[in-house]
Amino acid sequence: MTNTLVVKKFEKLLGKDNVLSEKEDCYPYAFDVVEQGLDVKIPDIVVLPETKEQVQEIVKFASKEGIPIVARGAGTNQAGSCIPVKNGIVMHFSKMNKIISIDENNLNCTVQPGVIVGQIQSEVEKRGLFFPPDPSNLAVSTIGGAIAQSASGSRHFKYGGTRDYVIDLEVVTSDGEIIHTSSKTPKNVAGYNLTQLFVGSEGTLGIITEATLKLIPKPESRRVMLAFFDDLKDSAMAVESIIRHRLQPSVIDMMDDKTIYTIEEFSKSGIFKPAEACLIIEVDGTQASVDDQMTRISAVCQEHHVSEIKVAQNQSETDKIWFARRQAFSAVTRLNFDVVAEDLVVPTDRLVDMVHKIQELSLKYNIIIAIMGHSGDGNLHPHFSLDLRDQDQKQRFELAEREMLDYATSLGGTITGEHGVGTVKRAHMHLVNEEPNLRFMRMIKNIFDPKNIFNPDKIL
Amino acid sequence: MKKFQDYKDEIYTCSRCGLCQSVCPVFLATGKETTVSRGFFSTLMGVVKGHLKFNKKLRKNIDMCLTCNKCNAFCPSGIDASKIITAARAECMGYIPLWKKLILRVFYSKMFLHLSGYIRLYRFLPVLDFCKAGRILHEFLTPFVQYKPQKPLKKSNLRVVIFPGCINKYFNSSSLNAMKMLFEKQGIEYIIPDFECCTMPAYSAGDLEGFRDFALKNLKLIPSDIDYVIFDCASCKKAFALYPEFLQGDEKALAEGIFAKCKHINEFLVDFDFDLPNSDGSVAYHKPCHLDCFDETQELIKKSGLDLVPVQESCCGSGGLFFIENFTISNSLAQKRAQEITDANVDTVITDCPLCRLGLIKGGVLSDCNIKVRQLTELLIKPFK
Repeated sequence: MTNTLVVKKFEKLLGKDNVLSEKEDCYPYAFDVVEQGLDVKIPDIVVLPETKEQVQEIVKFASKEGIPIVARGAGTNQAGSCIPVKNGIVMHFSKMNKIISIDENNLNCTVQPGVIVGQIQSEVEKRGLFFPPDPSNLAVSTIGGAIAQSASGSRHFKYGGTRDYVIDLEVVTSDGEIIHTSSKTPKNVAGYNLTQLFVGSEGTLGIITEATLKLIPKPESRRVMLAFFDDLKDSAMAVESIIRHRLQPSVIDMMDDKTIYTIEEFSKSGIFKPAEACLIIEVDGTQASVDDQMTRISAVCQEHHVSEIKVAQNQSETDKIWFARRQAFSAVTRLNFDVVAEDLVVPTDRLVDMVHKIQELSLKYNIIIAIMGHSGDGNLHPHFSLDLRDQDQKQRFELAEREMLDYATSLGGTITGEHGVGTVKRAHMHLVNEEPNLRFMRMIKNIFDPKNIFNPDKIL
Repeated sequence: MKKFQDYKDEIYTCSRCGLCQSVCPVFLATGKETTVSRGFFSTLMGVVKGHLKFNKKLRKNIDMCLTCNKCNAFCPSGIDASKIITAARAECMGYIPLWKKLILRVFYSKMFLHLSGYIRLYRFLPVLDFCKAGRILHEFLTPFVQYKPQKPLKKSNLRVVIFPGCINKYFNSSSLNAMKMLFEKQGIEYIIPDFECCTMPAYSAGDLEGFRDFALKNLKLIPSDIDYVIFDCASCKKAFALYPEFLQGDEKALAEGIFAKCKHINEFLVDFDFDLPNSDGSVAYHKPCHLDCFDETQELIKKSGLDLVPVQESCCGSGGLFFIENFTISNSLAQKRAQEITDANVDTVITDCPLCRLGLIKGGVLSDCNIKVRQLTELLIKPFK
């Protein structure tokens, strides 16, 4: 079929407004967060479906014609998962954005894939419920994307990530069929766990058209504190110590001096003062338990030479802290044009070693690396700040990155904890997966998508 | 004056984090990547990289920005989207549709503006009374305050220039009437030179040369010995704030000197000890995107005894020529806005921009929400209820 005929067919199916085919319209859909330089792959056509039946029809057609489909939520992933490397169709889910139901009796909610994660949180919180996964871009990122990337955030330390809250998925498979991966009950072991196969599959196995999510009661009280340190390693030791003391804050995030500087520079919150390191610690639970934990955590920090502890005094201060923290990635552009976020994970008791290594690499390759991360989980986001248009800088970055990933792996860690593989970590998959592992993964992909139309050339 | 090419690095700085999707009113209405700052920057970067060329279609796409700058207010990378998009529009002025060229050139002549004032004759087309367009026109064009000369209650040495703005001059003088009466009561001497349009719509459309020409004409009409230049339109004042960027040498100094004397009427009134009518009743305030004195405005509303009901900040859908070019999107934004105001349980909304006024009236009529739209000055002369 020629391109014009395909466009006509889709326009008839979706309505004119929901099909984009001119180059100027398709160009912005070539990107997610990852910088692509001069070699840009532009989708041939962008569709904005409004119903699952439309998704089915498009998939059936694409399958017959062998056209690749890339599903896209807010396009905010850091792994290149939304890049249409083989052109084809980009399916943008911004118009399938309804919360279908919130079941207060059975503690779950059912949503379309284009619903914003932050919106789910605020809607369920109005009913005294809680959806904990909190990727830092939750103000825009969609639940479909969060499931596809198995996203998580700061609160993973206590509550886990998106993976732990998906109980059932409705998926359009490569032959256009609709399947339900499980039931809406909190428990179900009747068969293989298909749900978890789709979580984190980055759109390579099927297209999610509906998800049922588990909800839990909202904690009665929450408080945030900032602990400033004169040495980054002290803060890393404090993290280990908090864990050894069997304390369980909902968040222990770490930031280095550069991160503190950049987020204060853009947010002008007046809360983040210059320091070598800062821990953001959030505690939740009953009022009494929050008070108790705050005291005990402060005491642990004192043991590790904390220079100052600031406790958010009200909701507005808490909001300011979170707003600034969550924009930390793009705030790094205050230092240089590009920012590349790494996503490595190491055992928490090797955090100090990893931090030390990153600082060493920054000196060795003369490249700015701003460190932040969910230190409670050993999940660090070293942010390389550089100008990728400069070939020399690009090369130094690649060498430093490689060395960093090798080291994390040698500590028993992994190359990505919550961002995904996409295009950017594809070449490093063998660092953490032995050949039989990869072989099984290829077989799984082949069963679900024999024609390789779903987000080709990603992960594997 | 920076050109599109000068913004190359700034465009490249966009990390594509996509946070602008959470505030962009147009994106919230369309759901398309092509209509949000990140998408504009990808597109413009495509031009820089040589993948795309400025053409009719591209121009049409970048015209989907309201230049409201909501995204700039929190952009973690600190990118000023409206400046960059305006510079890009200036680069592709050759690709704008004919009607827009006409508006930008012919319509700015005073003669045409005078003629367009005859739109008020619509009253003689009775059919309009029965359709929504007629009701919108009627609301928009009917003055709430009629001018009556006032006896001075005080003495004052102040001399001010009023910059009335085109809507006041040619379509509905209600707010101007109110301003004049407020000044007369206070014994403040005012003059109203025969100004041209502030040319903010030309700026938004990228006609920067036109903008510069009109800037000079306007600046030269202001006597040097006055104390203030007073505006009742947020966008007209914004234009004066931009004038210095487009001029050089003495002319730049003149523009800067005059801008130092520019005050929005709300900002002016809040500093003075006026006898404010103690009106009671509750109002909402709709913040125009160009307003630079939100705090003072809120203070003045409270000072005047009105009860200010908080409503979330959002868009009226008008913005420059956007409401003509993207009629449907503009209407849906306007209706949503009117609904938000009705949901806050108020029936009067105050704003300080004639286009916002049009948007709000339009939204009210289209969604059958019964809201009255006023400027604050009008309520200060003709108390509430």
